[in-house]
Amino acid sequence: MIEETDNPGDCNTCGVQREIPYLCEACGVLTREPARLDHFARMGLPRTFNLDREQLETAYLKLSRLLHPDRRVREGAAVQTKAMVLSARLNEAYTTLKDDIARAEHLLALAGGPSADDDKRTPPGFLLEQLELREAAEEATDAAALEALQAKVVPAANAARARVAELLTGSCFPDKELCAALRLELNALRYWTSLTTELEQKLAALSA
Amino acid sequence: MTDRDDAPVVGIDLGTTNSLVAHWVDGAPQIVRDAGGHPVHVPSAVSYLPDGTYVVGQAAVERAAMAPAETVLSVKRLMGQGLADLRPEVRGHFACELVEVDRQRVDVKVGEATYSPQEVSAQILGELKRRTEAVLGPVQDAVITVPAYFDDSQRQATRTAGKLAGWNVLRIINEPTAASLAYGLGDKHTDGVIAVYDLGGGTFDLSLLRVQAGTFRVLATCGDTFLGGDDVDRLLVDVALKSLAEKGLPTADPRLKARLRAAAERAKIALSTEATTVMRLREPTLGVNLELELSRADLHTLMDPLLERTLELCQQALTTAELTVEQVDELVLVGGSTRTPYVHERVGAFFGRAPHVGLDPDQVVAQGAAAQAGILAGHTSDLLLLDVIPLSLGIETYGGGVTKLIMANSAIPTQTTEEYSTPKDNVTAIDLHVLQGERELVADCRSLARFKLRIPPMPAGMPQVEVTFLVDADGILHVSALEKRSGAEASIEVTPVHGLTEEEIDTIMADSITHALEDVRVHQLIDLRNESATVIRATQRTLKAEGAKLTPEQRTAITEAAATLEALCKHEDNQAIKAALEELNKQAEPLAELVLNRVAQDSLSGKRLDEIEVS
Ligand SMILES: [Zn+2]
Repeated sequence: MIEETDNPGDCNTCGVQREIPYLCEACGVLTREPARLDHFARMGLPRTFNLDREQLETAYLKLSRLLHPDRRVREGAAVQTKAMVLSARLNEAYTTLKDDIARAEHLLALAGGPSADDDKRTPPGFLLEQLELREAAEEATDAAALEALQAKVVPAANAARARVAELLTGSCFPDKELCAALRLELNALRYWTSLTTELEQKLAALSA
Repeated sequence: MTDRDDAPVVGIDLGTTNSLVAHWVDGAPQIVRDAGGHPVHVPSAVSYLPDGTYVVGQAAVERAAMAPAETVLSVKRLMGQGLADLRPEVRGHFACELVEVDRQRVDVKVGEATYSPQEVSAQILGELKRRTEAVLGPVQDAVITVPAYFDDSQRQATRTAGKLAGWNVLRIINEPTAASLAYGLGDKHTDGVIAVYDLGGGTFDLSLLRVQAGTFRVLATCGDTFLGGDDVDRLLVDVALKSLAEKGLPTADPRLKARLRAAAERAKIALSTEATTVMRLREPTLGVNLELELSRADLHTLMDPLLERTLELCQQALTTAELTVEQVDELVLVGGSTRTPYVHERVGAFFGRAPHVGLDPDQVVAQGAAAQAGILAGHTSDLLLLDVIPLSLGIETYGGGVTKLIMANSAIPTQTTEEYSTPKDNVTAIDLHVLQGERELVADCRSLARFKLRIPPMPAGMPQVEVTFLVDADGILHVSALEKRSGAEASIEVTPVHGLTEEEIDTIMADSITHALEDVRVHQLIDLRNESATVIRATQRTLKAEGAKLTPEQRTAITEAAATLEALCKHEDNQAIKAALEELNKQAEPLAELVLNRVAQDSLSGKRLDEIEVS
């Protein structure tokens, strides 16, 4: 059943207080989805970068069971379609929140910060350093050379990750200045991540 | 809705070598058994007889030795594939002739008739339906399994085959996932991580699932559509052929290969229990007398590369799922090729635990499929399967690259939204090319669909095109696009641009399958209708473009011949259609001449052919 209400609070069908804005967890009834629902609110989780992984998994499993269209085969096509869409959005939310970078990007977007396309800047001197590391990665042919590079790149990537976490731990509602700083770090982090992956792939290819 | 509540629902394991049916009854899956108590089990083989009829199953397997070129074995290996997708050894496996129809379809040719893999599979699925209905009464709804690594075109081909055989295909699910459902049902108390190692005749899959209170969540799946137990048989056949060649004995006869394959399979089974065996084949008519001694160690040497490749894929799946081997709570082996003790030994050693025994590896897939059928028919609410998309989906970007939008192993249903703009002023349409695969170049991925979003002209960078990719629970992709400034919208359901066309499906559905005896005539009719449709379309198009250069008499003759042919195609008189088709071809000759002349001139003047084709 789909309840035509966007009234937060008690469920019209069973009277229980709703925790999730588009779903009554007690009786399973689906209600209208609020516009522009963020991924945290969609999963009934607090808006924070330091998300508890266990809490995320529990919420995901609980909501999957309630929303998956296969659980609603007896409720007719309209409810099934609605459940399918909600299920798809749940999976999008889960995938985003599970990943550090994607979660940080989401928080930045919620704060109205610039996207990677809007602002491609990186910290001063950063690109030159990346260029050198990339060249070294391309030239490296044996495992020893690749591992030596990994020993440089992995801690640097972790440090960049830690700086992002630090910026977001202060506030999950960053102001303009903080947004700009975050953008810079996230752009750098993208480079570090892709370089880390590239080194892993090269090493894997070497051992195969 | 309620009148179908009691209708039986089934799960079908459509295997490379064998197919099996289970149904959902009293809250559990059960293998469908005939009056004699034997499982409804059909070898996946079809043999075409000279009188135009065909036999399916054991009878076809028996006929394979006498008439290899008229018998289709392992048709599953052709599903949704083009000739270029088939490795030479797979191609060599087929004694019948293979004809490429397009990049994603290879038909088999037997005598004058050709059959798509969908039709051959439908003949197997039809046999399963007849035998199931003989026991259960009318059955419509079925879940059919495929290897986890099947791509979209292979899944669609399987769905089409089911439809052709008269099934209402509730869903296509992955074999290892189905196996885990059956396993989880057997041990309800078991929560934890299950690894399902599925080595069939022609495919390998590894799936990792987390089971929690009846919810089966697929964490990762990977595999190889060209890796299976049949490869070991093939290697044994090669050893035997080599030994024959060394003795200067003939090796070319296709019948010989079929006999050797049977001997190889016997030797493989014998080595499960014996330390040595002798592979024997005495065939005086072929001048062959083979006695080849084989040890278990010989067999293991042949199997090692295959098993090592599967273990690499196991490691890959663990990495994807962010799990270590120690975190796997249970190992389940599925597929006939896992019966070999050496497979138990190697795979058990990798996972550090003995495989779970107690379920018949040949039956679990059908049982799990029946469980999913039970879920989808609303017969059970204790179970839920959260499945994943096996291959990444992406779109073509500038320069032939692919940007992935939905990653492999994402839980489905799922969606993602991307925003695009335009690089140039006054662009009025944005082309989107959707691809499937893990590689980074368009050329290395499989094309799923192309579509256009029309937008009002604006300066470069101004349009804000928001594209949403939604994959539903059946794994079908829906794409919708919205230009935010103008509100222009477009949406499509991505049905793959390959395999059988809707028309072909309808034509086949209407005419064949139930009339097996009439098949040759029916196929001829289908071919004639298809050819007629093509010729009529081409003629009309060219007539529109070039007709002015013909005399009025010539134009009338062509139009009339086309109309006659079109009318006859609605009936079933093959001879009359054939005559009308010939007549139209004859009347259209002057038109064809005109076009050919112009094409020759235009090519000389530097125009591209595809520009001329467009009418
Ligand atoms: Zn309620």
